[in-house]
Amino acid sequence: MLTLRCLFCVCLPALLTLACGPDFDDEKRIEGYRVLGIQADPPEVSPDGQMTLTVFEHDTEPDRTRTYAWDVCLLNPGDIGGFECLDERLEFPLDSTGPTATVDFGPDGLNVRALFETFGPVRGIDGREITLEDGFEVYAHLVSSAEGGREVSTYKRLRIRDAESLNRNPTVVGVEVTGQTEPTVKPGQTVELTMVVDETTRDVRPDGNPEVYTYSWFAVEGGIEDGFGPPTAIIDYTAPKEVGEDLVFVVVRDGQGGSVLETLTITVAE
Amino acid sequence: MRLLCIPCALLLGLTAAAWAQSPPEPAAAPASEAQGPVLTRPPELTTFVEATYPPEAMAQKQTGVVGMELTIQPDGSTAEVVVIESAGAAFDAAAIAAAQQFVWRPAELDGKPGAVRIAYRYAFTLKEEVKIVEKPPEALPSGVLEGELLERGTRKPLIAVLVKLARSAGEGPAVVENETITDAQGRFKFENVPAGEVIVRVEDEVFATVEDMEIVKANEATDVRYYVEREKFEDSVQVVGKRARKEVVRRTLEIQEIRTIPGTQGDALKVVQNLPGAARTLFSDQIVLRGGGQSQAYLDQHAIPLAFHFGGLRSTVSSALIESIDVYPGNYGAEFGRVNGGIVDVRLRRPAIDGWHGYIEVDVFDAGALIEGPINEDWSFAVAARRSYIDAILLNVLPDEVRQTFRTAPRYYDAQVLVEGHIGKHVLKTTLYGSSDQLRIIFDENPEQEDGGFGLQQEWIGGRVEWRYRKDDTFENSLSASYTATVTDLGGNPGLAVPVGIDVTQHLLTLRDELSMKIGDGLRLRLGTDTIADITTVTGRLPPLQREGEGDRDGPPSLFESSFSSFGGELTQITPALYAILEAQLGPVLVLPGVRMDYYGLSGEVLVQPRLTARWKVHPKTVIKAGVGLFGEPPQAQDLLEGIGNPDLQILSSWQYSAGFEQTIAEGLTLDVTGFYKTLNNLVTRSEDRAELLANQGEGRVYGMEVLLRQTVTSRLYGWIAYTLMRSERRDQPGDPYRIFDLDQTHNVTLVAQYKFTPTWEAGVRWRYVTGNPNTPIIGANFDADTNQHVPVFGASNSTRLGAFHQLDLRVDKHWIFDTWRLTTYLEVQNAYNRQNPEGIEYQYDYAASAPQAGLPIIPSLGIRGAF
Repeated sequence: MLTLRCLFCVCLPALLTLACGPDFDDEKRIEGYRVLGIQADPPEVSPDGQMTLTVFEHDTEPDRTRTYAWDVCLLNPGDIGGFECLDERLEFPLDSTGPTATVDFGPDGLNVRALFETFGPVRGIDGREITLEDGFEVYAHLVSSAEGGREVSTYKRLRIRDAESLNRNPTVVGVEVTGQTEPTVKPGQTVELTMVVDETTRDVRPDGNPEVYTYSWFAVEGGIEDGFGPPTAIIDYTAPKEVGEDLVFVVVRDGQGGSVLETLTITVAE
Repeated sequence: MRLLCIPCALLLGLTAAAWAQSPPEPAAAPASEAQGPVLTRPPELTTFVEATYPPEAMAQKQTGVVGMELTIQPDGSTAEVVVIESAGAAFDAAAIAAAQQFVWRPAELDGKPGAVRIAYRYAFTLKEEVKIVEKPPEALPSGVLEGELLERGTRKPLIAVLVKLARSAGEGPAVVENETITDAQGRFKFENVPAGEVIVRVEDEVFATVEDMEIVKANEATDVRYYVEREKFEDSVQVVGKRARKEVVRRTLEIQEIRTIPGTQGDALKVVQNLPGAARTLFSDQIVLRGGGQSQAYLDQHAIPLAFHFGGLRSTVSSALIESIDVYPGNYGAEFGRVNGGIVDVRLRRPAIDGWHGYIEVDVFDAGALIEGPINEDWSFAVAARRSYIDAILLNVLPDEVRQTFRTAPRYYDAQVLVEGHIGKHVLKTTLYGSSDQLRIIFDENPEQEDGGFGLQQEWIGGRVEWRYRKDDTFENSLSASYTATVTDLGGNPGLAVPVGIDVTQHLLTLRDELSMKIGDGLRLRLGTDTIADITTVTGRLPPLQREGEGDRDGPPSLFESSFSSFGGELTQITPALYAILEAQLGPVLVLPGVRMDYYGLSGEVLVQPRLTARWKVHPKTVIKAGVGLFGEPPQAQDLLEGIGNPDLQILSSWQYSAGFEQTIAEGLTLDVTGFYKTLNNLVTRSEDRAELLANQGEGRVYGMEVLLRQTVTSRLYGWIAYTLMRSERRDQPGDPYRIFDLDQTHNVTLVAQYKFTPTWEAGVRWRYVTGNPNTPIIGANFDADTNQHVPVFGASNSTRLGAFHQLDLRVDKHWIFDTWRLTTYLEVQNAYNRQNPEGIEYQYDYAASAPQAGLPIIPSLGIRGAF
C-alpha cells in the first residue's frame, strides 16, 4: 500500500496551526541584509553561451560593506543533496567579488561540450541520461554577507540547452497601487498592490502551456498580506504608521529559471 | 487467572433438598491478557442430580448451603468440584457427589463448546421448612401467571433467577406459596394460581430485589415483564478453556477493557499504542511495533487498507462491532506474514442474536449509529455507520482567511454490515465495509490558478466472506476471502508552477484457508494458505519524498520543476503463501515449529521462513517462553515505481528472537516480561548509483525488553502498566556506523487504570512517559533563488533528541439506566496538566531561529451515547 501519510500529514497540521506559530521574523519584511534572488541573464543558454548573474539584494543598512564569492558547479544534486557539488573537478570559482558575475560555458570558459565528451554519458539526479539537446542544469553559488552580519548562501540553477528557442527572463511593466496613479498612501492604510507583467515575453513551457509566473513580495517597513496560499500578482499592503518612504520589492519568476526584480517606492503621508 | 464468583441464586425447592443453578450470564471479559475467547453461550444444566440429605443432619433438622466452583467441560460433564463455602463435611460431601453427576449443555466460547468455571450453591433445606404449594381448592377459580425478567438497560434475559409467588396476608408479611426459576430466556410460569391479588418477588444476589403486586384473573393467563437493575459488577462465568496462547507475545485487548480508556474517545484501535513494544507516534494510524519494519492492520485476519481516518482521528471500523484486538509485536506464527514489524488483528463479534439492540452516539468528532438483531434462530446481522462533523467545527473556529480556502473541509464517513449464521457445525460470516475521507482546499483569490487547490479523497470499500466448519476437536476448517478497492486522489495545483499529486487505485483480493487436525495425543497440525493479489495503478508527479532517517524538512519540499518526478504504471503482484504449524504439547512444554513459504510475484523470489515458538509451564503460575523465526516483507509500492523508485528491489527480511516469562502474581494480576532482538536486512535506502535511485543496502537492528503488569477486569478495577526499553538502529549503507531509527524511544511507559465506583459511575486515568524522538539538527541553510525557499543543511542523522513526552488523560463516565435502554455520557480531558510536549522543531523561514513545536494542549471533550 502506498504510504501517503507523509504528504497528507504535512498539510492538515499546517492548516490547523497556521494562526499559532512562534514569534519568528516575518518572511516578507526585510530586516538587515537580505538576498531576494539571483537573476541569470539570459536564464537559458546554449552550451557555447554566456550568462550574467546578478544578485537581487537589499540591506536596511546600506552603508555597510558587502562581500561576494561566486562559483559554479556542473554536477549538483540540488536541494535533495543540500546543494553540495558532487565532484570537485566540476566546481569552478567565478572571477567576481561583486554583486554581478559572468559565466562562460563556451570553449573559452568552462567548455561544457568538452566536459560532456570527457565524462561520457552523464546522468541526472533522476538517473536519466543527460543530453545537450534535452538540456541540463548547472548551479551557481553565491556566498554573500554584509559587514557584521552572517553569511548567506544562495544557489541558482542555470539551464543549458542546445536549442534555437531558449527561455527568457520575464519583463514587467511595474508595480502600482491599484486604482492610483501615484504610490502614496496614508499611515496604516491598507491598499492593494498589483504587479503588471509584460505578456509579450511570457514563454511556453516544454509541455506546450504558457509559463506560470510566481511572485515574491517583500517590504522594508510595511506589511504584506497575500492571504493563504502562494503569493499572487495582487496583494494587500499595509503602510507603516509613521510618515516617510517605504520600499516594496517583487521578484517575478517564470518557473523555468527566469526571474526579474521590480521595486516600488511608496510614499507614506497624511 | 480470574475467578468470577457470583453467588448464584439459592433455590428452595419442593423436595427435601433444593438445588441452585448458577446463572450462566456471559462473562464480561476473559481473565487475563492474551486469553481471548468470549463466552457466546452460557452453560445450562440439563441433568440435575439431587443430593442425598445427610441422615444425621436430617435427624437434627440441620440445614446448610454449600458453595462450590464447578468446572464444566466442553462435553457437558462436570470435571472438577471445589468447595469454597463449606456447610460441614457431611453437607459438602453430599453436594460434591451430586454436583459431579450434573450434566450440562456446554458453554460456547466464540461459538465453540469450551470449558468454563462457574460458582454454584447447593442448599439443603428440610421439607417441613418449606412452604408447600397450597393447591387452590378446586372450587376456587384460578389462572396462570407468567412473565420474563430482563436486565434493566440492556434487556438481557435473567437466567436462573428465583421468582417467588406469594399471597398477601393482610398487614403481615407475604406468605410464600410457590416459587420457580427463570429459564434460558428469562421466563417463568406459575399455573393454578388462585384468582386475585398475588405478590411476585424476584430475589438475586446480583440484581435488585423486585416485589410487585399482580392480579390474576380466573381462567386467564397473565403475562408480566420486569426490568431488574444490576447491583453488582461481578460476572458469573469464568472461561477456563481459553484460547491457548501459542505465541511468545500476543496481547489481547477485550472491548470492555478499552472503550473507556482516557484519551481514546472510545476508539478501541487507538489503545494499541499503549501496549509494550508500540512506539508513540504523532498520528495513530502509524503502527510501529518493536522498533520498525512495516506493521499491518487486519480485520479478522484480512488486511485492510486504512485503519484510521485522516491519519488517526478515528478508526475506520466502529468499535462497537469489535470483539477484541490481538496485537503481535513480533515473533508471530506462520499464519501471518509479509511484514517485519507487527500485526494488529481486529476481531469482529457476532451480531446480537438475543434481540434487537442498537445505539446512537455523538462526540466531538462524529455521530454514529448501530442496529443489530436476529434474522432468525441461526442468523443475525448488524449495521453501523458514522459521519464526522469536523468540517462544521473547523469552519467556525478557523480564521477567515483559512476558512475561505475550504471547498470541502475535512470530513469522513464509514459503514459496516455484518451478517452471521451458526448452522450446526457451520458458521457463515459476511462483512461489508467502506470508508471515505475528503478534503479540498481552494485558492480562489489567485486569478491565474483556475484549477488551483489541493485536496485529498481517499475511499475504500470491501467485503469479506467466511465459512467455518468444526466437526469436533479433531477437525476444523476455516475458509475466507476478501476484496477491497481503494481509491486515493491526493494533490492538485496549489498555485505552484506545476501540478503535484498522486492518484492510486488498488484492488486487493485475499484468500485464506486453514485446516486444523488433531493428529495424535497432544499433537495438532495446522495447514494453511494465505494468498494476496494486489493490482495497483499509480500516476503522479511529486517532489522527492523524504525517507526514514533523512530528517524533517519542516516545510514544503522544493517545488522547482526539475526536482519533480513524474511516474505511473500498474503493479500487479500475486503473493501466494503456504504455511504449516505443528502444535506439540509435550507435558508442560508446548512447542510450535512452523514454516511459511511466500512467493513474491514482482521479484520472483521465494522466501522460506522457519519459525519456532516454545512455552514451558514450569509452575502453575509461571510460564517461560521463547521464539525465533525468519520474516519477510515486500518493498513499499512507491519504492518499486520507475521514476521515483527501483522496480528491481528485493524482499526485506528479518530474523527475530524473543524470550521471557509470564507470572501470575495474584488473581487477575499478571506480569509478562519479554526480551527481544531482531535484525532488519535488505532495507531500502537511497542508492549512490543514481541510475537505480534506491537499493536494498540498508541494515537495522532492534533490541530491548517489554514489561506488562496487568490487572484484568475485576469487580471494580482494571488496568495495566506497560514499559518498553528499546534501542532501534539503522545504517543506510554497508560499512556506515549505526544511527538511531526515527522513532527510537528508549523508555516508553504507559499507566492505564479504570475504576467503577458504582454501577453508574466509573472513571479512568492514563499517563504516558516517552523518551523524546530523535531529531536531525539543522545546522545551516541555503537560499534557493529559483523557488524563494531556504533549504536546510542537516547535521548528522538523528543525532539529537526532542524533549521527553508525558501526558495525563482523565475520563469520567456516567450511566443512566432505564428499563429498556441506557444513556451514557463521558467527559474526557486530554493532556490534563497541559504539558507542552515537543513534537518537532519549528524554524524561521531562513532557519536562523527555531522553537519547539508543541503538541496538542489540554482538550476537554464530551460524548453521549444511548443504547438499547
